[in-house]
Parts: sequence; C-alpha cells; structure tokens
Amino acid sequence: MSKLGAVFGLITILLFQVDKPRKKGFIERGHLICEEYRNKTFCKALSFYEKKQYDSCYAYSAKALLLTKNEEEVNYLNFIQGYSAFKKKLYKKALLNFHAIKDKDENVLEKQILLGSVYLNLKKYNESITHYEKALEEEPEALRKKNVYHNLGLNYIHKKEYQKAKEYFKKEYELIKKNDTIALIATKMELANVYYNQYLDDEAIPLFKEAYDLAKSFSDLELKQNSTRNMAVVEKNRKNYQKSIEYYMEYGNWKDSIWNRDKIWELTEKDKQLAVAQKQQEIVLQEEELKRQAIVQKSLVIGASGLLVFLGFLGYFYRELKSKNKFITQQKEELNVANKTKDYLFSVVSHDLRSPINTIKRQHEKLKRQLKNKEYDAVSETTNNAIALTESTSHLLNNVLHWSLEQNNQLSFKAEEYPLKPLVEQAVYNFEEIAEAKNIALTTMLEATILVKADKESLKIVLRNLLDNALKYTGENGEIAIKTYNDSEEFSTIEIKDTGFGISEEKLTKIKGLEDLSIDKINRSEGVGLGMLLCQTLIKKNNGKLLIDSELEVGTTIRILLPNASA
Amino acid sequence: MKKLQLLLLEDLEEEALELSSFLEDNDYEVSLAKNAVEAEKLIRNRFFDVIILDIMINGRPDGISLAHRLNKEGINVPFLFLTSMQGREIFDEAKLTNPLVYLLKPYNKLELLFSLELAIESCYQQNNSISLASDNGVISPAFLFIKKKRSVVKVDVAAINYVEVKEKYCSIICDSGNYLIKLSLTKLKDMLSNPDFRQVHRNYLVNVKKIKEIYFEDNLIVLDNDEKILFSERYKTAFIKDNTIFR
Repeated sequence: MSKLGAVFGLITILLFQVDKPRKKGFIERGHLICEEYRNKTFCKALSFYEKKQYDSCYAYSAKALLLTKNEEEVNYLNFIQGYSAFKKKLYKKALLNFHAIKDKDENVLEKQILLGSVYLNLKKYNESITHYEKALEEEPEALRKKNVYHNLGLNYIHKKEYQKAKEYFKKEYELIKKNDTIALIATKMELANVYYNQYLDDEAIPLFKEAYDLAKSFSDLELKQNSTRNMAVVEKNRKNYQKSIEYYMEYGNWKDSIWNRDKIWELTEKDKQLAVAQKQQEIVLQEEELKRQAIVQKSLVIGASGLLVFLGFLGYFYRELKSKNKFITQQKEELNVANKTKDYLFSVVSHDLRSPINTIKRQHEKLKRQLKNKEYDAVSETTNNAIALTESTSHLLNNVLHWSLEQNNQLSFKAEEYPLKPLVEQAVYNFEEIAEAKNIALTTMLEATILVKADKESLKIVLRNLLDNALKYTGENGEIAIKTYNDSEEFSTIEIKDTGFGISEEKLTKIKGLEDLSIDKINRSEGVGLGMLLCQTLIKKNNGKLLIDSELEVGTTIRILLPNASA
Repeated sequence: MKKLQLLLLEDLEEEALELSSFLEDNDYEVSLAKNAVEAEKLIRNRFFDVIILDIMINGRPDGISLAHRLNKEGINVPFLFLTSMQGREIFDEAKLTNPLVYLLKPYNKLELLFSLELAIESCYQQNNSISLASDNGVISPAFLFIKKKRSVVKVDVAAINYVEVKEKYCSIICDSGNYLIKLSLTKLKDMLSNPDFRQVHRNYLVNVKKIKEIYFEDNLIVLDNDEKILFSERYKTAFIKDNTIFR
C-alpha cells in the first residue's frame, strides 16, 4: 500500500512534462491565422493564451467559436480553449474541445497526445493508452516520443501491468539525453518504482539511491522531496528505521522548504493584496476627501452668492431709503419756504393791510361827517386821500400776491418778443394822473424799434413798482424822465431817472444784496420792501439786470437791462 | 376804412359797459355777450375781427371751453383772454387753447388796446408789426389792418392799388397811404390768395381792378391814380394768357 501511495504522488508531478509541445510552431500558426482573417476576438484569445491567462483565453475563445465558421480557426480555437480548460482542470470540457478537432495532418498527433493526457488525468487508463498508441503511429519527434513513452508507462503502472510499464520506461530511458538530468532522475525513479512494485528490490533500491543522489545535487525541490521520500519508504520496508527516519526528516525539510516557498509566495501575494487593499482604501478616502472638498466649495459658492444677493438687496433698500430721505428733505425745505411765505403773508395782512384799511374807514367816516356838515371844499381832499390810500394798498396787495405766486412757482411765465415802447407806455399811463396831481413832470423818450425778449406780465410788475417808488420819493415839482435805448447787441435799457430824495448808501447796498435774498431773510423793519425784492427776482428771471445809481437829495437812476429779441 | 367788429364775453354788466364804451371811443364796434351760449350764437351769425373772452363766466371757466369749441370748429378768429386769474392752473388750461393773448386784470386801457394789436398780429403770423410802428400793417385774406391813432382799423383788400417788395418785406400801397407788411411777397400772395392780385414784376403785385392802361411795348402799367408800374417780360406771357381781354 505504501508503495502505491508513493506511486500516486509521482504521477501528478510527472504529468506536467507532457504537453508543452511544439509550442513555438503552434503559436506562430495562431499568429498566421490571426493575420489572415483579422478576427479580433480570435487574436485576443490567442494573445491571452500566449500570456498564459487561461481564464480570459477560455472566455474569448468561446466567444470566437460562436462567431466564426472558418475550419482552421475553429480547430485552433478548440486547441486553445481545450488547453485552457485542461489547465483549469475542466477535463470533460477539454475532452469535448479536443474531440471536436478535425483529423488533419498537422492536428492528429497533437490531438491524440492531448486526449491521452486528459484521459490519464481522468484515470481512464485504457482510453489513454489507446490515444497514446495512436500518437506513436504518427511518429513524433524524439522529445515527444519520450513523453509519450513515459505516460504510457505511467498508465501501465496504474493498471499494475508492470512488465509493460518497464518496457516503456526503458524505451524512454533510451531516448533521454545524458544531460537532461530531470528526465533522467524521473525515469530512474519510475523504473525503480516498477521494479519495487514487482518486489525486485535488488534492482529497485540502487535505482532509488541513484535518483536520490542525482536529485541531491540538483536544484529541483520536488524531485528532491520525492526521491527522499522514496528512499524513506524503501528504508522503512527494509526495516532500516534509523535510515528511514533520517530520510523522512530530510523529506520533511524539503517539504518545508517547498511549503515555505509556497508560503512566502502566498504571503507576498497576501501582502500585495493587503497593499492593494490599503491603496484602494486610501483612494476611497481621497475620493471622499475630494467629495467633501467639492461640497465645501459648492456651499462656499452658494454662501457667497447668497451673501452677494443679500448685500445687493441691502444696497437697494439703502438707496431707496436714501432717495426717500432726500425726497423728504426736499419736501421739508419746500414746506419751510411755504411756511415762511405764509408767515410773511400773515404779517403783511396784520400790519400793512390792517392800518391802511382802518385809515380808509376813517376817511369814509370823515367824508360822511363833512357831507353832513356841508363842508364841500374839504370833501374833495378827503376823497383824493382815500383814493391814494386805496391805490397804494391795492399795489401792496398785488405785490404780495405776485410774490407768493412766484415763490410757489405758480406765476405764469412766458418770455416772448415784444416791442418795448408800448409796454413802457402802458406802464407809464397808469401814473400820469398821479404825476399830474403831484405836479411832477413825467416825460418819456422811447425808441420805437426796440424789440425785447421778456415775459410781459412780470415786466409790467417791475415797471409798476419802480415807477411807484419814483413817484413816491419825488417831491412836488420834481421830474421823472423815462428813456429806452439800445446800448449793446445783447441788451436794451429802460432808464427811469427821478429828481427825488435819493437812496442812502446803506440802503442801496441792502437793495443790491437782495439779488440772492430769500423771504426768510427779509427784515421788514429795515425798510426794504417787497417791491424791490420782487423786482430783483423777476428781472433775474427775465435774464435781465437791474442797476441802481442814487445820490441823496439829487435823485435816483434805475436802469433795467433786458435781452434783445434775437431777430 | 372800416371799424373792427369785436365780441366781448363778460358776465359783469358794469365792467362790460365800461369796456365797450371805452372801445367804442377808440373806433371799435363792440357786441356784448353775457354768457357762452349767447356768444356762440353771435359768432355763428356775424363776422368778428377779434373776440375778447373773460375766462370765468358766472363762476365757471366757460371762456376756456368756448375757446376750445372755436378751435375745434376751425373758426380762425383771433381771441384773447381777459382775466384776473393769475394762478398757473388756469393759465395752463387756457394755454391749451392757444390763446393769442392773455391779459391780466388789473390792466389799463392802453394795455387792452395793445393786446388787441397783438391778437391780430399773431393770428396772421405777422408779429411785431402794428404793435411796433404805426406805418406797419397786418394783412389778412379779406382786410388790411392798420393803425389809426391808438386803435386798429381795417381796409378792404380791394382798396389796395399794388404791393411792392421792400427788402425782406413788402409795402402795400393804397390811396390812404403805404403800409409795411412783415411778410415776404410769396407769403403775402399766399395770404391773399386773391385772383385780382397779379404779379407783374419780380417786385410788384398789382390789383388788376385798379389798372387803367397797359403799355405792352413799353412794359408799363398805369393805374387809376396814374401811378406807373413796371411790367416785366417774364410775367407778361402768363398775364396775357390768363386775361383774354388783352389779346
């Protein structure tokens, strides 16, 4: 039994000698097919076969087999798929592939050998023997023939037909070249096994010993192990336990070193896997990190844009508020002006109007009395007084009205071209009677051709005020001369010259200062009336100028410069 | 010379009477209307040279609405507003009717007369003519308006003898005198658009009705009052063509 165990151990090892036949030629043939038909799947299967990646080779050749009907390709694919299946120990599948190969000259030998080895592996020794014998008929070259002999020998060992086995091993032995140590050792061991199984110990033991010695000096670990084990079994059977134990121990050592070799390989593989796993984990971690960074970036962007929008809104509201505030401030200022105007009007009504109206009332009462007493001479004077008073009050009222309208921007204003002469004439016309009454010589010297650009109504107001002043401050028998003349391209002048009391230097400065004076700065007690203020304002509005020259007790000359009509 | 026909819309009787008597003293003929309906009736029945409108009639701005209606119906009569309303609101509203003149109370009599001149001038687009100088005139399709002392009177265009170019403008020659019109000859011809007035020379427009004799050979026209006017070749052909009598 123990001998048999040793034999089985040998089979598996030796089997692999069988089929790496004609490898070079075989692959070259594949390349030729690949180039000839340019079948991509085929080429791929071939390249995997070349690289010994049998899984991929198997898959691709299966695919290629489905796609192609070309006999040459099919045969070749069956070879490589079958071989891949064989490598993967799918013996049944390998059988199917190999059987499918057509018996052509270049294929037969190969097919028989491969079938032989598959059957050997399947422990169908008879079939194996048949195929190997067929292979021998094809007369393979020496190396293959040797292998075939070897495997035939193995088959016979298993069938316990030792005689036949011995014959084949001997044939093989003859074929082995002297320098092929591995094959020599193996064959020697097989032969020794054959002898040993036939209990031909004298023949067997030297052969075992020989194999063992050869293996000792050789580097193949498995050969060493097997030969050592064989020696151990042999020594044990010879009851030479001391030796047997030594062999076993040696066997153990070899086994360990094989195991170590495998183990180391495995460990490195494990290490590699671990390293790969670690790397992958790192990659995953880094990806996570990247993802997190992306999220952070995204949220930053969103946050920033949100902030921007928020700021925009803030700015918008701020501006809105500011413009509102500005509007309110503007309104406040307008209201202030309106309020000041109103205050001024109140004060005018309460002071300047109340007293003259009272005076008029008294005049009328006086008139009534005088009529009752039939003092007819006095009536005329009282009436004249009343008329004069009414006139001045009406004048004041007009000024107040015009002023307030102007202040509220309610005064209609439309500058047009007018002949200056009739405008002045009309203004003067109003004062002819008063001048006559005061015995003042009112003379005019007006140029007929002057055209000015002005607003008629405002010019009227100005002229009325200035003429009123002139008459008021000119005593009896005085003179008022009104002239118009054209003194430049740009302006025409209205000159009102009186021989009145004149205006003091001090007051003149004040009047000149009125140009940019608003109502709230008027101090009515200072005696500069609304009339002058109105004149300044309206002349300015007409793009004109108001010039005043005065000398106390000599008279005043007022010049109004108005822009000429552009025609 | 004829007096101008005026229509005065004024609801206050006292003022209306005072005004009309003043205007009549100044050679105007005045018709009075107490309200807008009356005024409109008068306008339809008679011809007026100028219409004077008080804005507030019985407390309503009927003056403005009447002006609107006149504008709408295309009645081309000069009108002026007479009012004590100085507020911008009323003024702006009145301005929409394109009033020729807007006279504010209190006004003096000279101002009123002046405003009448302005109204006539601007109605016929001859600004600053009669208001500027008394030898100026304003021409309308039917009348020549001229100054007579402080007032304006009108002369029938038929009374015009001829028109002569005077630099930029034209001079109208009547028996009563010469008047400068602030229009070019072309514009004046358009304004008259009267077949009686024929151009006979680059510088002359003649009233055909006033021609006594024509000397074609001498290129001379003699008028009724024995004035002689040049007749240029350029206008002769057209003149003969249109006036078959002379052939």
